[in-house]
Amino acid sequence: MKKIAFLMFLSVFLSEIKAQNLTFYGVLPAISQTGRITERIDYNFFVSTTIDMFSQTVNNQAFPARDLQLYIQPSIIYKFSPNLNTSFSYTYQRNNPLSDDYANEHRLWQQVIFGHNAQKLRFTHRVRFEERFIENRVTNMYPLATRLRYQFAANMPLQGKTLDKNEFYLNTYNEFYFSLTGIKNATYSENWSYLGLGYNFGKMGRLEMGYLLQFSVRNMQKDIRMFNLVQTTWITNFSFSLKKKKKE
Amino acid sequence: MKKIAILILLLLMCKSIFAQEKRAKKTEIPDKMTDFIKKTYPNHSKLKFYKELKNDTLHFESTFCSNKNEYTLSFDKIGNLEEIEVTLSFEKIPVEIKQKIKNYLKNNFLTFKIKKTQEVDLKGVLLYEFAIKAKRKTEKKTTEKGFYEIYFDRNGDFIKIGILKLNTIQSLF
Repeated sequence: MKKIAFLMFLSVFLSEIKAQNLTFYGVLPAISQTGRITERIDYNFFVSTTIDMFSQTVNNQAFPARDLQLYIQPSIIYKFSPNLNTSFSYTYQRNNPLSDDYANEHRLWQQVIFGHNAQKLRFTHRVRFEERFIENRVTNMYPLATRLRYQFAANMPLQGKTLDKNEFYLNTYNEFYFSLTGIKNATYSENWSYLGLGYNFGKMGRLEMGYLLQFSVRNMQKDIRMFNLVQTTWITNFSFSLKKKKKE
Repeated sequence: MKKIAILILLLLMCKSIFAQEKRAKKTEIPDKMTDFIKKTYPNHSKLKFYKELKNDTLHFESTFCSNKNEYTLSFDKIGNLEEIEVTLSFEKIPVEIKQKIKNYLKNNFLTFKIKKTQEVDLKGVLLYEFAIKAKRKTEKKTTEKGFYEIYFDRNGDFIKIGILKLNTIQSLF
């Protein structure tokens, strides 16, 4: 048994050296606020940061613990029906935001999201097309790269048919990232898997905590980067309008 | 007078939407309620029980399938039946009544599409409930597309309409 364990450890260790795969552990706090503009149009403001919690050295290369990404995503949502929404956004992303080796990214995206119910589960399918302008600090240019993302998610209230105040729920998703044009390490370049447990506080919104595994191809040699994250999201949904709703 | 009584009942029903419901264990369910379901719907499947507090009073709800229809039954705390909701096809409504309902919808909406049809038995008051997607003229003479919940009695006479609030489909990142 000991021998098997040792061999397994050795094989993982050797493959790590050969492939130069990297594994990080960190946290990802996020806030998401949705509000009403008109009956059909909502806005969403999503902000997050991704923090690598532990310093490590791999093959003589140091990876200090630091903030790796700041992500600011305002978007406008058009609600075609209870089960079909579209949205668009200008998103700002800054990699290594607190370090000298930072890089900015300006991103435009458009998406369609479709939802359907099956028993207590609410499934959503989201397709997003991104036009990314990622800063090259050497040339000082922002070359265009495009990417297509597909997210499949499921949401389930844990105490009853619907999610009410002071109740728990589960949320899970998998998202596939396909780099289409521009500089890319692979076509299927990233995959994010998430499982979270949430609690609905009512007017104060929902608090969700879960495990997010970000898997990405990090270079042309197809080495991978695995980021194990504890994601905490505060999700609010309120409008600033003081107008009373007209009732029939 | 009858319409006022129905409206009051509907208002009470709408209020209950905001009550909190949780899954209930079989041991919490009054025998009267389980007996009623067994006797009235012997072929039921996918039976689930829920409990909820409406105005500080305990109520029970059960959902199940029977003869390919989806049922939602509401009971008071001692197991007296309060409401039956059955999802059915619009085509199953008697022809004359169906025509009357269609005429009402044609006269009041520019376009409409029926998304869901339910038969409701609210303490003996028999109704039809429809979820529709429709376009209609507003008071400002512009057109407005929306999703509505609309109630008719079993003779096909209009009772009440309410607009469904559209919410954003939530997703992370």
